[in-house]
Amino acid sequence: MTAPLILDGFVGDGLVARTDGPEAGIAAGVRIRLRGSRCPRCGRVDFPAADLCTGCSATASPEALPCDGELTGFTSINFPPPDAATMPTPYCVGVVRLQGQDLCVLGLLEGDLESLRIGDPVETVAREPIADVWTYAFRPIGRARPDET
Amino acid sequence: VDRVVIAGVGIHPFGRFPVGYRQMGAIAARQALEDAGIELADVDVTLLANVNAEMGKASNTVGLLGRPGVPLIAVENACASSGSALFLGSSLIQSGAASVVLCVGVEKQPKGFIAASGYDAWQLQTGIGLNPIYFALGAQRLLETTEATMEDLADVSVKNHRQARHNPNAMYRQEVTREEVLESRPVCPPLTLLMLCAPNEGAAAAVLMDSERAHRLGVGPPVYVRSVGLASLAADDFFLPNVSFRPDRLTSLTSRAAGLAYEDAGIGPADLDLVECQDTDSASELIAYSELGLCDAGKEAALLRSGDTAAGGRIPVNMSGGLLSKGEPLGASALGQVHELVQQLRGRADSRQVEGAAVGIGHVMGAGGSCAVTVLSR
Repeated sequence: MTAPLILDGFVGDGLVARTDGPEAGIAAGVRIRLRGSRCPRCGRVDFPAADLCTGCSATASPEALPCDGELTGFTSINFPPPDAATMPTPYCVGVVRLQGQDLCVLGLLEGDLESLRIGDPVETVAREPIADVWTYAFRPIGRARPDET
Repeated sequence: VDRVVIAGVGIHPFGRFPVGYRQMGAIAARQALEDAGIELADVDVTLLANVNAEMGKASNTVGLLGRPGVPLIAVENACASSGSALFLGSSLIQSGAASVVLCVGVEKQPKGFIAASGYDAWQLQTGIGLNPIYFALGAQRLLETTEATMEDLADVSVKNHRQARHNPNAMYRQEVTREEVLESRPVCPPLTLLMLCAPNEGAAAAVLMDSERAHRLGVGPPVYVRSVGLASLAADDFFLPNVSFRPDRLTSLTSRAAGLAYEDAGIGPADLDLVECQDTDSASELIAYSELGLCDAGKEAALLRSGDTAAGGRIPVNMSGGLLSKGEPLGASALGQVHELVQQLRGRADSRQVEGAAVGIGHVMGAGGSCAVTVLSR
């Protein structure tokens, strides 16, 4: 598995962490690390990165979050959202617990409702622009126990 | 203590109408003033709860009833807007700053998913800033972590629609069957169309009055605002518009607001005779059972199945039909609950009457993460 790219600011709101790799353009589907923040006072990790900790309001520092995680919940949206009318429907959304973190993140989820299972391992990848906005998505990387249905 | 009386209530039915929001608000306000036996000139402060209307909305609405020149303030807190108006109105009376406060809630909300409800632009543009995502994930979590089933989710909708049959102010007054709910269109699985409330239009109003004045005027039978607990989003609530939370330290917006309300009123959930709660979707009602303290966490489905939360049960929930049947005019929803609770506590709810109803609560929560729990008693 290739190391996740960590780029800065290719998403309008700086959702993705600073680069430590080649500056070459991002491509849809590459592994990325989300740009979060950590509070030096209470240790809280926030996503998206917060200038001030959402727990205790201390000044927080940016921190790249783990690329991998586990799916803890998902749904699909079967009708176009009023603010993202160009989104092809249905599309899936999931909640992912990032590896080694007491942190769950909500995001777009690849795959279809029938094949997804709670507990699926997922990775964070770049998602091609929706209305000119690059974002992230979670992509299932195979079942931990493929025999389980 | 017991300083704030609800001297009058009014309502414009919930549904879809060819009239503007100002007219709907004015109709509800006028009815509340008449119910209290006062005139607009007797009001010290008017609070208008609304989300979508234009600048100057308080004046534009209440001005249809007259222009006595007293303070008018618009209150916006998404679906908790009129709960927030009740919080402010009660506080004004308790502090002595006002002796009569008119609270009006009104909305004209288009059908379908609610647009732009408190998210950052990137959330909206990329399709994750959408309220039903949170409702669906909450429902899935309930199904995964408790004994609740899809049938239970359907049965909440069946119960509330059945209770709405006798509510002339509800948008949907037809009974639905479990099969109809389960087979209706999947909007955001596991939630189907009939498990979700419809944003719509309507208005409701209440006249809050200092109890001494209410007793002097002979307002009766008096209903008291015992407390209004108002809480806002915390970093670890799984509620819109949060994108992340700490699963090991998950907190509950509703539990915080309910805790404040119970403490302030000096009562507990065991003292309640009826509840009007935010049944944005079927699972939200079940989750509210435990978060409002009606049952232990994990026992939501058992409480529903016992019949205790249905008409004739120990603690009926959403006798009005709830938002699932009434629809949800955002700015009016809490005052709509108050309208129902006041009829119940006065013993004038006709065929919906909960026998011996003495204490009830209303519960609303909205985008941006505001939750209001109002405790009323006779």
